[in-house]
Amino acid sequence: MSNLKPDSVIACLDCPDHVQAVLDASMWSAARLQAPIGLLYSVPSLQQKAAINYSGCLNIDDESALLETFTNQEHLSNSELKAQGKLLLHQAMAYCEQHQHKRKVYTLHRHEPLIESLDYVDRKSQLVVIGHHLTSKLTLGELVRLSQCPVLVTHSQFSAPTTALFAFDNRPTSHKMLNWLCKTPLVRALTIHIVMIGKDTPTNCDALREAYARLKQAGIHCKKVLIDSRDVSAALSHYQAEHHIGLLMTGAFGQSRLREFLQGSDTKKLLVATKIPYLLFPKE
Amino acid sequence: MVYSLFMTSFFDSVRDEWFSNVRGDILSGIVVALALIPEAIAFSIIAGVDPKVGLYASFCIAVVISFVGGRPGMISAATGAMALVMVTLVADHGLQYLLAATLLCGVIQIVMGILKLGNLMRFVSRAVVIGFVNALAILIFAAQLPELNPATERVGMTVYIMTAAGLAIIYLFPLLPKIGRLLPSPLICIVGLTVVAMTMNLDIRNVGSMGELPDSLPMFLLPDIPLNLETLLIIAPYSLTLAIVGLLESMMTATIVDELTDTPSNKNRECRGQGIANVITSFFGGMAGCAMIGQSMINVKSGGRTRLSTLIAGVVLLIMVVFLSDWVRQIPMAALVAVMIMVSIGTFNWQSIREFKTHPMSFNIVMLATVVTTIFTHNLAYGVGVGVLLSAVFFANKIGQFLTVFSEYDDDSNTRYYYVQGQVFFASTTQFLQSFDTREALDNVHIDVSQAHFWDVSAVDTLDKLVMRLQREGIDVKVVGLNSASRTLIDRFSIHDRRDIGLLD
Repeated sequence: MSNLKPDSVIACLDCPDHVQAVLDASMWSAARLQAPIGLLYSVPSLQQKAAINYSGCLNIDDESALLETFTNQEHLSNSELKAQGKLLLHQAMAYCEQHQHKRKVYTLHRHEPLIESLDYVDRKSQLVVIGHHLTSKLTLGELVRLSQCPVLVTHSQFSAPTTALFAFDNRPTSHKMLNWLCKTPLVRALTIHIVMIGKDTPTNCDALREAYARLKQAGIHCKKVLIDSRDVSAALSHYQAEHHIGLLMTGAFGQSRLREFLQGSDTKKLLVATKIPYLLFPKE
Repeated sequence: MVYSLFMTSFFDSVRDEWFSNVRGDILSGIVVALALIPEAIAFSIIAGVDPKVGLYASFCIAVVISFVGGRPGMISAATGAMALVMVTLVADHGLQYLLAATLLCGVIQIVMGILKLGNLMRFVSRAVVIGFVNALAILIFAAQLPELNPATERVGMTVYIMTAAGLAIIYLFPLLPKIGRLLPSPLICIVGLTVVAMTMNLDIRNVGSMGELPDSLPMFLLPDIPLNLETLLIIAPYSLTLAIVGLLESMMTATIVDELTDTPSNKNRECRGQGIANVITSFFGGMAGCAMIGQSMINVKSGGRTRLSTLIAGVVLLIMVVFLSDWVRQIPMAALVAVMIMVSIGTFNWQSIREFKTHPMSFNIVMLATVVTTIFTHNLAYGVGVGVLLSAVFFANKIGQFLTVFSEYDDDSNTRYYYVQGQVFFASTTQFLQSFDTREALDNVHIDVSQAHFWDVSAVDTLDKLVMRLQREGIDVKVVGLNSASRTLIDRFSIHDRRDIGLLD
């Protein structure tokens, strides 16, 4: 029941500061994935606000009268809201056209919280692009955790990356992500640094060597590094600064909930710490 | 001229309904009478009354129904289904209240017949009918267990051997050439076991120890009860249940006989006939009865087709019982138990177990619900009620799935066109609502319901709700194509302003 096109790149126009970066990032990934871009603008409708001024005495047939008043009021306020959204989407479309983007761009304009819209699109989409700063009540971490397709988080400036860091931890999620990386055209042209944070044990070395071999086989230029460190996020941040990495790629929330509770989540820490575009692959 | 025409057609129908098959009817009537004796006694014992009550009832009902029934060739008498209903009434209040309940039951059935409630049988699905007969079979079998319980007086190894021998006779005797098909095997079982018991002088329970047997023709008597409201309140629930159970089984049996003989029957006349038969029975000291599936099958199988067979069955039954009462007294209970086990095995629909896996799940659930409810309440009417209710729910659910909504989007005007097809009513309103995406920020929504049917107030309410929800999102809604049937409903019930959104187009 929507004009959602399958296998789109979904650009979430949420925070005004990040709109431009999100559009840049979307155009970059859509060009690589050869996918249409869906501009998703999603604002909750103004339902609760209308109720405030109507407390007081009850009359006969109050219910239908009240219902009518609400309906008329909300019809007006939501029409206004809709017009604003339309304007924003038009501007976004115009921006894409200015930059001579070749793929199809279409709009998805919805009246509900962002997370519900994402829940609605993520099963059929290839990639969700979102700004680092969210206006909705939800944190970025929660949103990423609920997503079912890969999420690309960008800061207010997006520049196309040439090198990428793939944080490999030998968990099921990162194996899944490895499979995806071998197939997707998104990172085909990049140099990928496979970084594993862990002790220099035979198991770790074997896993890393295998991941490296698979990416090589897929025709991707890559390097492998094993770093022995306790603090995963610090080590990754350090590595990326040192090597001028343009894109960070990890599996999202790969640990069990219990370990996350005890140790804290690396994904959350990275979301806060990272200053470059960050691609997260869902656990499910 | 008109008079003679009427007389001709009257005599024609009398000849058709009474004397078109005299030889077959007399023979089958005698066979049925023989098979009725043990059953009438056994059902009396289930109900907890003297055997003569069941025997008189069988005589009266069979004779009366042969004149007033709506299904020629169907046998009605005292039955297990009715006996099971009256057990507690007899235990708590005694025989006279049973006779009064039978009278009231008859009156209720007559009224139901006049109101043409026989037509309601079409709401009883096949699954319920099968559940009914299965529950009946289980209850009849369960009613035999006290006679096989070692704790009961004078029940021991002899009784088990006798019962086993009885079952062997019942199921093996028909295999004999010629004679096996001539005589009803339950009768051979009873005669054989009685002879054995008498010659060997076995000390086991027999019919004589269960109560009084008839030694004369039945006499006209009014039920001896106080005529007040209290009495009515005692018997009314039983009478109502008896009336419903009796009509259900009679209608089912009539349908089966209709199918077997490929001839039509008058269901509403049968309802009235059952009522009249029960009223008359109550005045002659008989318990309530109804049509019997098993006996009617025996009758049709043995060649009975007309009303004469039913009359013969009743009359022969009475003659035999009155003149043979000294011998009937000697029938061992073990023989009757064997007959009743046969009845329950024959009543049970084994096909329903064989085809359990191939039948749809809803069919099985309805059938099992009917059986389980009946067994726990000991009331066939409740079982049928639950079964009918469940089948209605399943049906509503099934029909509710005939609903599809698809949509098209028009980019230029930011309009979505929804097309609704199928049935919208209380069972499908949730699905109806969920088929619409109210969160999309559209300018216009166009709902085309010309291919849909709005059946009830819930459907209209739901459409209202949907329109309201879309309007609250700031969308202009237009509903088109309500067909005239739905439009009357909309006009009467909907709240929102119809002119605005084009409901009256």
